[in-house]
Amino acid sequence: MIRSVILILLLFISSLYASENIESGISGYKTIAIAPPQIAQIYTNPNLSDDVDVDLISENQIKLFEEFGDNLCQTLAAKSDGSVEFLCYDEIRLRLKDAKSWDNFNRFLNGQSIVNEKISRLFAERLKAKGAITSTLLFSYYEQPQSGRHIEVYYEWNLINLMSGKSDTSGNYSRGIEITESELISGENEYTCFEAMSERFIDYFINLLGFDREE
Amino acid sequence: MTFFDRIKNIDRRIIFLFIALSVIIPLLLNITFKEEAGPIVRNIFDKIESLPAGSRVLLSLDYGPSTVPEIQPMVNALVRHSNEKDLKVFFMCLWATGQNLTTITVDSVQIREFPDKVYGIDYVNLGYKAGNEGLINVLITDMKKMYTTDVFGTYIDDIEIMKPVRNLTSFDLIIGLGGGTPGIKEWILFAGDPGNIPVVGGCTAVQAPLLYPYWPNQLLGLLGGIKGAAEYESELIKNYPKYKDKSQPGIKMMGPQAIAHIVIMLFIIIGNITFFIERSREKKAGMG
Repeated sequence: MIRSVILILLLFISSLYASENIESGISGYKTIAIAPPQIAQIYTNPNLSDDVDVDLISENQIKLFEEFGDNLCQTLAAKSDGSVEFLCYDEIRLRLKDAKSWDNFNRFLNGQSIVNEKISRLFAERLKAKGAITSTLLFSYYEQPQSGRHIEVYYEWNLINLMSGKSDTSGNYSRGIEITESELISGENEYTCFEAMSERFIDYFINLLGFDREE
Repeated sequence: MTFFDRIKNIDRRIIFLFIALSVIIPLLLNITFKEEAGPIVRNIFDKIESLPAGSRVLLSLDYGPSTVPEIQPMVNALVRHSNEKDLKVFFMCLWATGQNLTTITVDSVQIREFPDKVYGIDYVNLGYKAGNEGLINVLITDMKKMYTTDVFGTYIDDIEIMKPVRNLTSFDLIIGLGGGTPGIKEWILFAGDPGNIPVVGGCTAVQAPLLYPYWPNQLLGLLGGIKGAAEYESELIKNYPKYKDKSQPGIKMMGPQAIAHIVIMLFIIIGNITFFIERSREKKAGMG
């Protein structure tokens, strides 16, 4: 009987410790830099790639690169009530001082889950940030005989502790929508799908951080 | 209480004790058995053996620390064999946890045992990328779309070994080593089948039955659990005797595993015998 009580107490204490760790995983950071996500398109049916205007897609990619990370960053910064500082692209560029460092920041953090410790410490020092959010965004195009064409967005993120270069917290999110042929050709649907996903993703992220979305 | 009653009502802790001893004693005495590779393992060995020097092999380490005891011996044996054959080895992983394990493998086997092999020319560590089967789908069309750098941040185009690689079809063999999803099945479905690329695998023993249906057409060979690893190690020793003195964890672990299995089977047989004796006694008592 006594042994059982001790065991239950130990389990309770360890679960408290574990939950505290999860929370402190993200809220323990005072400053977090948002790195541009790595973006790629997947065509499960090779014919689908013929329908997509490749030039337009690459333009979209650049826009997505710039817009998504910045949008996420600005929203998080606005909702964070100042307890965590989010460094958006302009601020990162400013702190890194030159274009080459910004290129290196992209090169070493783009889509990574582990960063070389020496390099990540260097960025921590130059950015005056303890963490960085790295991410990967995949647009998957596929066709189903019954319901037509679809796009599925898969987003995976890692909060890298820049002091160790290792991922502290990570997660993923995916969302799919049905599309028409003309929408696919226009390339606009990437945004429709992406916006729908990013809205929910930001909500999820804000909850994770412990911030209240409602103002 | 008769001997039969004692056996019938044996305390389960005694069974646990027997199992513990059947593992501990063979480990302490280093008891091993002779291993002979079966056709499913032999196929992998023969495939690697048949590849000409300079062939490209993609080793995807898609597992985490929980499956290291089963998978790591296979990885070590496959890395040794690939290097013995002078193949170009490309390390990558579909699991985030695989990146650390890849680094450990590169440091403990690739660099330590093959110091003459040059990073970027004979082997490369591409690391982890997100996307699961989506990642394989990108890699089959364009490798450099996702892998713009290696784990050290070196641009892919600056790495000698990566220059002739366009997509997954540039590889002569894909070796998937994993204990879950994404893993070998995804390599078969999204790379092996559409790209007509030979795929072999290594997985945990519990996963192996799920992958046997793909053998031998879609999956050229499979190392299932410690038994698979031990068979591959024995084949490696047979063909490259210098590995006889090297640590062979697969073969070492097969001793305790085999003895523990024998003990379990003995208890099952004893349990069945006591069951039938008891039933016949009850029948006799009923008739009386």
